Amino acid sequence: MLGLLLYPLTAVTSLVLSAYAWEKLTHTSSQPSAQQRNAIFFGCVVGMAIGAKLGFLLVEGLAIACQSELSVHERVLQLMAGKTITGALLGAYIGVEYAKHRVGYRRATGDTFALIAPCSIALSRLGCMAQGCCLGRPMPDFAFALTDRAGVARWPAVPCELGFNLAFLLFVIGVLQVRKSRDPSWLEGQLFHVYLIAYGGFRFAHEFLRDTPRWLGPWSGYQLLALALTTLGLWGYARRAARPAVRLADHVE
Amino acid sequence: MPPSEQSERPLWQWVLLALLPGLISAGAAGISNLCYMLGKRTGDDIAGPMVVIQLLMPFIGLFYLIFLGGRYVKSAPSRTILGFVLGYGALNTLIWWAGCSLQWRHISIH
Repeated sequence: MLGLLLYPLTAVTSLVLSAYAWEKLTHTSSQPSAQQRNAIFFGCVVGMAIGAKLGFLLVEGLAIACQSELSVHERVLQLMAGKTITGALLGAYIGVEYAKHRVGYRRATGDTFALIAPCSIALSRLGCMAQGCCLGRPMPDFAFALTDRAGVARWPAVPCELGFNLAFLLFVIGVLQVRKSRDPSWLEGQLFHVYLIAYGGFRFAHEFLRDTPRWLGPWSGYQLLALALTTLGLWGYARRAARPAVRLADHVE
Repeated sequence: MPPSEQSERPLWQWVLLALLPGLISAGAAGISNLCYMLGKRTGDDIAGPMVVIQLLMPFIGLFYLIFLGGRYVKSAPSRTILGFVLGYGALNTLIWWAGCSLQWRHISIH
């Protein structure tokens, strides 16, 4: 039961820590200005919130609303509580781009977000773990299986998500080290696009092992969102590669 | 940083302040749940006031965000109160929903 309380707390903590990190990582740079910085972060979190909810409603909303074995009360609770990280990432990307357009900021910000996002998502996943949501599919018990509240052994979906984000964080730190020592322009302004491509691919594959509603055969709606993430990442990468005059804020080194 | 751009307080403090209504709502649900862990009777005793806090939170939160938005706009004149209220209102609504779904597990609606 305590885990249920931890979920909103980890979500708020990750938001506040992200704001702190975003400000710390960008304040030494001449750009963005304080107002631009706040506006971009605001666009990010609002886009994230809207995307997280809309993504969930798109994928699971109808299925939950039509689940006749659940009472109306239970259906409403499920619809209220659900969110998805895939929708959140799509919404955050759109929110940041919109905010940058509004405040007239044209430089790349993605490398900073590529440092913040995996930490923030990993922290939120700890909340998922405490709450016992986002479960993997039931399977025969094995060494790393997680047992749910009903005692059913399941694929460790949340630890895998946690592992992916920590691995990506190590990758970003590695890239920043390479920039320092060898090639200062390696993947400059592209790290968040790489994150979107990688997470989209990971989530698409991982979805087969997650206990989520299927739209058609083995395919779930989250795989559609994962494909959208990868496509957005590839499109952003290609666009940036074709127009590289977007020096990243100087501090991410 | 030019003085005109200097915000009154750091960004993380604005975010924390703006999310306070949602946090209070989640906190109320948490207290209620903890009391249910101690026993149904204790939970029933405390659940009433906690539900009142949760039901009032959207209204209190709205006025609070308008007030806070006014303070924020003073330090960042290019922003609008409406944008602040709508944006953080959306975030608080998500947290409020999470709190409600926690709280309402123990309530049967007839």
